This record gives sequence, C-alpha cells and structure tokens, in this order.
Amino acid sequence: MFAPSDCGSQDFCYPPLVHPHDTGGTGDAVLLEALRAGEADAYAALVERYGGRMRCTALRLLGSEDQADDAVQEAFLSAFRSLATFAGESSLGTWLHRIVINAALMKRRSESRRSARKVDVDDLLPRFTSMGAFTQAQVPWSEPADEPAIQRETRERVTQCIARLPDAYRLPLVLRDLEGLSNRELADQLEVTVNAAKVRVHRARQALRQLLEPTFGATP
Amino acid sequence: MDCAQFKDELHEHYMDRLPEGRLPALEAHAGTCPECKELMGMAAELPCREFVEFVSDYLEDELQPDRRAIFDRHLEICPDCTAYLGSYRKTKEEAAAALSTGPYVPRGLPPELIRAILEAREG
Repeated sequence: MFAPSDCGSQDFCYPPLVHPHDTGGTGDAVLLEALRAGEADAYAALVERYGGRMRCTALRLLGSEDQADDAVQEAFLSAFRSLATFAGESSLGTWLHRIVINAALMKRRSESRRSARKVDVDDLLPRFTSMGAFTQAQVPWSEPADEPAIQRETRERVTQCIARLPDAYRLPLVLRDLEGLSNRELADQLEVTVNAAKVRVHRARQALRQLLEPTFGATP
Repeated sequence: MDCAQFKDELHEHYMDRLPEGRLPALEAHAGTCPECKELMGMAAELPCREFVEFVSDYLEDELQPDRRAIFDRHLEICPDCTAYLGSYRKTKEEAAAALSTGPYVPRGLPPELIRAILEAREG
C-alpha cells in the first residue's frame, strides 16, 4: 500500500517539483504504480506533491486565488480521468503542469471580459524616425535598491503592470518567461505559428518594459 | 576628426540630428579609417527599429553568427539600443522575480482544497 503519511511531514515525504520540466524519477514511478492500482492514498500523495506548484501556475495565469483553486481542482480531476492514458513519456510534474495550464486557460476563456482597464499594447511600443532610429533617447535603467521593503514595493508594482496587459499578451508572457514553455509549446497552446507566438511574447515584453520605465528608467 | 568624435557624430546622423554640412566630414573620416567605414556601413545596414524587432532573438542567442556580429557592432555605436537591450533584459528579470515571490512561492495546498479534490474524485 502507498502510505503518504509514513514520514510524518509531507514536506519531507514528497519533494516539490524543482522545475516544470523535471524528469520525475523513481518517486514518480512508485506513485504512478500506486495510482494505477487505485490506491486512495496515492491520489492524496499526488495532490500533496504537485498541488502547490500547480496552484502557483494557475495563480500567475488567473490572478485570483479562488479561480486558481478552481483551476487546480479541475486539473486534478482531469488528470485522474486521464491516468490510464498517461504514457509516461514526460514526468508526472510536466504532465500535470500542462494540464493545469489548460485548465487555467479554459477558465480564462470561459469568463466574460473583465472590467479592469487594460492598456493598448500598440501605444506602448517604441517609435522610430523614418531612418529607423528611436524618436526618443533611451535611458539606461537603474538597479533597484537592495532593501527588502523597496524590493517588495517594486515587485508589487511590477505585478500590477503585468496585470494591466491584455490577456492576449499577458498569458503568452507568463507561459514563456515564467512557466518555461518553449516557443513551440507556446505556439501549440495558442494555436498559432511559432513566429506569431514569438511576436506576441516580444510585444508583451516591450509593452511591460514601457510600463516599467517610470520605475526603473527615471534619472536619479 | 578622431574615431570617438566620428562615433558621436554618426549617432547624431543616425538620429537625424547631425547639423547640416557635417556629413562630408563624417564621410571623409570614414574614407581614411576602415573600422569607422565599416561602422558607417553597419549603421546603415541595421536601423534601431530592426535591432529592437530582433532583440529577443539576440538575447536568446538565436541569431546566426554573422547577423549577431552586425548587432554587436550596432551596439558599439548606439547608446539607445544599448539602453533598450538592458531595459528589455531587466524587464524579463523583474517579471520573473515578481511572479516568483510572495503568493507565487509554491506551498502545500490548503487542506480544504485537498479534501475537496479528493471528495470530488470519489463523488
């Protein structure tokens, strides 16, 4: 029998995912065997081992803890239903990572448009002269201060700026730069060409860069 | 004109800000200095607009070596693109840092959520 509570603390029993694209390992193999044997404890172990990181992914994509929790629940239920067809070509962590991304994006698509004011990305792209030079001089950015309080404030501001991007740009940015999807994986997820996916991420970064300019680009 | 002044004035030329009548002096220096002549060619070959369009490929090392060399030379003469590159890189870093701290640090799921997931499976 698979016994998730044998070690006393789940933190010690079930090491967290190191990276969404980790390779699993023997822990996964034992867990998978127990899951396929239908052991109830194995399901609990799966949720405890991978749920935290899946929730972070959902939270980054959805921005709301309640919605992230819903997406994680839907993702696990979907995973439980698909366990029989899981071929083991990727690690359990990678497989669950993809499933929670799908669950979060489906949730996002099914929602009515949010009322929060979003920026127009086109307004945030750099402008150039007829010769192709910048119309405005670019200012080197300063390094943020080391003090924890200022760092917290800065990160809060960055998070708010990311939230101001329209979903069509924010989601590709998060999937590529935070969730580690390759350009090909991102293109598959967005159902666009690889080049279109790259352009979407690039424009998102450019727009975010412009939104952050007052924070980092101000001359001291 | 020395090479440093050439670089400064080349940048002004590129920005459409070179005073009238200075271009012949630039061209004259380029005629005597192969390195500056190459820079002048590079500046014409790669406008900032194009640098910015492919800055992501540059950062992610996806450019062919000869193309990358053109980007590197452009950076030598263009403080705007140098600043833009730095701020673009910083944007990626700060976004990653912001969404990897605080509520985005993986923790165990709340017990009630674990319970809800397992009950939904059984139900």
